[in-house]
Amino acid sequence: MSSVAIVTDSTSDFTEIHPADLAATVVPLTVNWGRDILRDGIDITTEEFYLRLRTDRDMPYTSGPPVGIFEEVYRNLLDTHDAVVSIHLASKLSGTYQVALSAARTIDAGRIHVVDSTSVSVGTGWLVQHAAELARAERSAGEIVDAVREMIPRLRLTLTLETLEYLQRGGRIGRAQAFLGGLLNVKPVLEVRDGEVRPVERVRTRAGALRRVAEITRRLGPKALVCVVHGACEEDAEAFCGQVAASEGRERIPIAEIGAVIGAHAGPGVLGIASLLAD
Amino acid sequence: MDSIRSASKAAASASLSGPVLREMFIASSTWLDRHAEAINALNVFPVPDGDTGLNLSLTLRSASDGLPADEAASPAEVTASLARGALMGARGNSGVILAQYLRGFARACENQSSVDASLLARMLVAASEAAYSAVVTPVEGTILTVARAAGQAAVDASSTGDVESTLSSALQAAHGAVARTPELLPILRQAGVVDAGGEGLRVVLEGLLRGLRGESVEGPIEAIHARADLSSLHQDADDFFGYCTEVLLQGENLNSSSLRERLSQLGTCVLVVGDDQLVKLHVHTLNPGVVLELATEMGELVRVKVDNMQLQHAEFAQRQATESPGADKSFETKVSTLPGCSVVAVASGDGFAAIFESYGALVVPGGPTMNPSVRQIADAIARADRADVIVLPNNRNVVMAARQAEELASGRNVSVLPTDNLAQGLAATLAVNPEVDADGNRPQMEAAVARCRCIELTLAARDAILDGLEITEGAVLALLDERPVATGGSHPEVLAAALGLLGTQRFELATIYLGELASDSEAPKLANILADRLGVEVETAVGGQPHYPYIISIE
Repeated sequence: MSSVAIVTDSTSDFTEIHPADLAATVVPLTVNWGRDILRDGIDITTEEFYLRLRTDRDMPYTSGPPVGIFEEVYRNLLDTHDAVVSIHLASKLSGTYQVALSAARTIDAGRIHVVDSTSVSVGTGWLVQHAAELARAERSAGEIVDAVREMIPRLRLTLTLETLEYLQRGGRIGRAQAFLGGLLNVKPVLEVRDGEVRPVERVRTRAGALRRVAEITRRLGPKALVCVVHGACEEDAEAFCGQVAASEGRERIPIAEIGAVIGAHAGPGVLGIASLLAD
Repeated sequence: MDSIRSASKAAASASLSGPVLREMFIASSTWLDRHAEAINALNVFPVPDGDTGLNLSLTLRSASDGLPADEAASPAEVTASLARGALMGARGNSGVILAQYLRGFARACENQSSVDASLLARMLVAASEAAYSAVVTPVEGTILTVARAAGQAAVDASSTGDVESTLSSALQAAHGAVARTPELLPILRQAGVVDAGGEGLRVVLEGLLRGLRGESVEGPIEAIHARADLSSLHQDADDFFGYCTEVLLQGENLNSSSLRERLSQLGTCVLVVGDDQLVKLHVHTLNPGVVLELATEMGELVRVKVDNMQLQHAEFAQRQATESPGADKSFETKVSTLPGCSVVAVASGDGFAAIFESYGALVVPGGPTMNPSVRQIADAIARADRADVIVLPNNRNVVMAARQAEELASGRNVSVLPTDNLAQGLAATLAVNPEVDADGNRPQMEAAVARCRCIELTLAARDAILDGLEITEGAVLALLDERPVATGGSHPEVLAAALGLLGTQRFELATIYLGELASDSEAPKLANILADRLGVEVETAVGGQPHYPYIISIE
C-alpha cells in the first residue's frame, strides 16, 4: 500500500483511463438544475448532462464541493495514508481549490498538500494521472508535489466554442468579454493559461477557428502529450483528430470528453486541444 | 470692415496685406461652398462617393474660419493660420491635397509683411509643388495639373507688377487646365466629366479673385462646363446639400396634395401640413426661389425660412471637431497608455459604428459621402487607450487624411492600414488582439483583409460607360472591390452577376450588411444566392449605411 493518497475533483478529465481505475479519490462538484442538486459524475453522467442541457428549459449552475466533503475525504484517507496530494482545477475559475485548502487546514495542513493546477479538464487529469503513478511507485508526497508543479507551466489548452452564451452566463469569460462580446457571430478561439480564460482570436467560421486552434498548437513546439477535447460533439472531434494528427505529426490523438461542470460553462460544441509541452 | 474693403481695393494692384488676404480667403470659401454641389456631381464613378466639392469646401472653411481678425496681421500670419486650419479640417484626398497646397502657399510667404505680384506668383508655384509632393504617385489631369498651370501663368503675368492681373491670369490658366483634364485622364473622358478636384481649385482661385475685387460671392453661379446631371445627385444627397426651405402660406382653397406633388418635383423631404387656409410647407431644394414663386402663386407668404444646409453641416462638423474632448490635446503625448493596440475605424451607418465599437474600435463617423477631417481622426487617436494605434480608413478617399493624422500624432505609434471598404475594415478589426502591439497584429490583420472580398450594391447616380460597362441612371450597380462590375434591374440579378467574377477562390462565410435602403424581403433572396453559389454560411447584420442598400463581405 502506497503511503500517499491522491485526490482530485470531478472536473478532471482523463484519456485512456477510466476515473474508477485511477488510484485517486474524485470529489464531485455540484450541478444545480432547477430543484435538482446533482453530484457531478455520481447523480448525473456526462452524457445525461449534455442531453439535458439541450432539452431542459432551465440552465444549470455549478458550485464547488461543500467543505464538509473534503474534510471527510481527507480524514478517511489520512487514516490509511501518510499524506494526501489534492490536485484541483484552476483557482481563478472555481472556488474548489480554496475549499480544499480550508479543509486541509482544518484536518492536518502538514500532511495534506493542495495543488492549483491552473488548468481544467485533461490538463488537471494529466497531473492527477502522473501523481497517481508516482504514488503507486511509493514516492513521497514532497516528490509528487514537485513533479506535478514542474508539469503545470507546460500545460496548454486551446479551444473554440460553438457559442459564447454559456461562458457569458457563467461569468467565467473574464478578460475575454470585451474582446469577444461583439455584434457579429464569431467563433472565439480561447486558451486556458495560468488559470485564466484568455481570448486569442476571433474567427468568423468554425472551420476557420479549428484551423487556428491546430495552428496555434502546432506553433507551441514539441509536446509530451496531446489530446483533443470536446463537449458533446464527438463526430467533429473525430474529424478534428485527423487534422491534429497531421499537424502534430502523430499517428493517433486521443479524445476526451469535457465533463459536466466545465461543459456547463463552455457549452456543447466546445472543441480544442490540450497539450503538455515537452520538458 | 468697409474701410478695409475700400482700402484693399485701392491698394490691390500693388500688393496684398494680411487683412486683404483674409477677406479673399473668406470670400473664396463662401464661393466654394456655393459650388460644392456642382463639383460633387463631377464624380467619375456614378455612385454616391468621393464628394470632392464637399470635402474641398469643408477643408477651406476650416482654413478660413480661424483666420486672425486682427487688422495688423501680416500675410505670413494669415497664411500660416490658413495652412494650419486647412490641415486640421482636411477631408478626403482632395481636401488633403488642398491643405498641402495651402501649406506650400504659406511657406513661401513666411516672414513677409506684404505680398506683391512676384511673391504671389512664387506662393502659387510653391503651393503647386507642395501639392505634388503630397501625392505618392502624381497623376496629370487632376488638381495637380491645374495647380501647376495656375502657378506658371502667375509667374508669367507677375512681371506686370499687378497682383490682380497675376491672380486673374492664374485663374484663366486654371480654367483652361480644367477643361483639358479629360484629355489627360481617360477615365474622365469615359465618364464625360472634368476633374472634380481641378475644378475645385479653379473655383478657389476664382473666389480669391472675387474677394480681391470686392465682387459678390453670394450671387448666382455659372453652370460648370460638364455633362453633370444635378438632378440625380440631388436625391442622393438631400440632407447635406441645398436649402431647407420652410414657408407658412395663407390663402383660400389651398390644396395640400397638389402642393405636395409640385414640391416633390423641386426637392426632397417634402412635408405639407395644414388646412385649406393655412399651410406649412417644408422642402429640401437646390432652388428655394422656385419654391417661393410657387408658394406666391398659391397664396400669401406669412413666414419664410431658408437655411443653407451645407453651411449648417460645415459648421456642425467644425463645432464637433473643436468641441470634442481632447480636441486641443491631440498633439500632446498621451501620458498613460496601456500596452497593446487600439483600432480607430472610419465608419458610416449606425449599425457599422455599433459593430466596430462592439469589438473595441474607436469610430470616426464618415464614409463615402462624408469623409472625416484629419482632426476628427487625430482626436480619435488621442482618445485611444493603447500605446499603438492602427487606423482603418475603410475608404480610399480617406487614406490620405488618415496618413496626415498619423503624422500629427507624435509620441504614439500610429499606423494606417489602408482598408478600402467597411468589409475589409471589419475583417481587420476582428483580427486584432488588443493586448498585442501593432507589429504583432499587422500580419493577422493584413491576412484578414487579403481574404476579404467586398461587393457593394447601389444605384447608379447617372449614365456612364465604364470599363465597357454601360450604366444607366437609376440602375442597380454592383461594385466588386470598388470596381463597377455589373449592372441591371434588381439587386439579386446584379449580385449573381458579380459573384460570377469572384474567381476560383474558396469562401466560407458571407456577411450581408443591410443599409438604410435595404428591403426586408430582398435580403433573404440575396442570402440564398450567396449560399447557393458559393456554398458559404451567410450572416445578416444591420450596417445602416446610407446610399448602399447592401454591402456584402465574402471571406
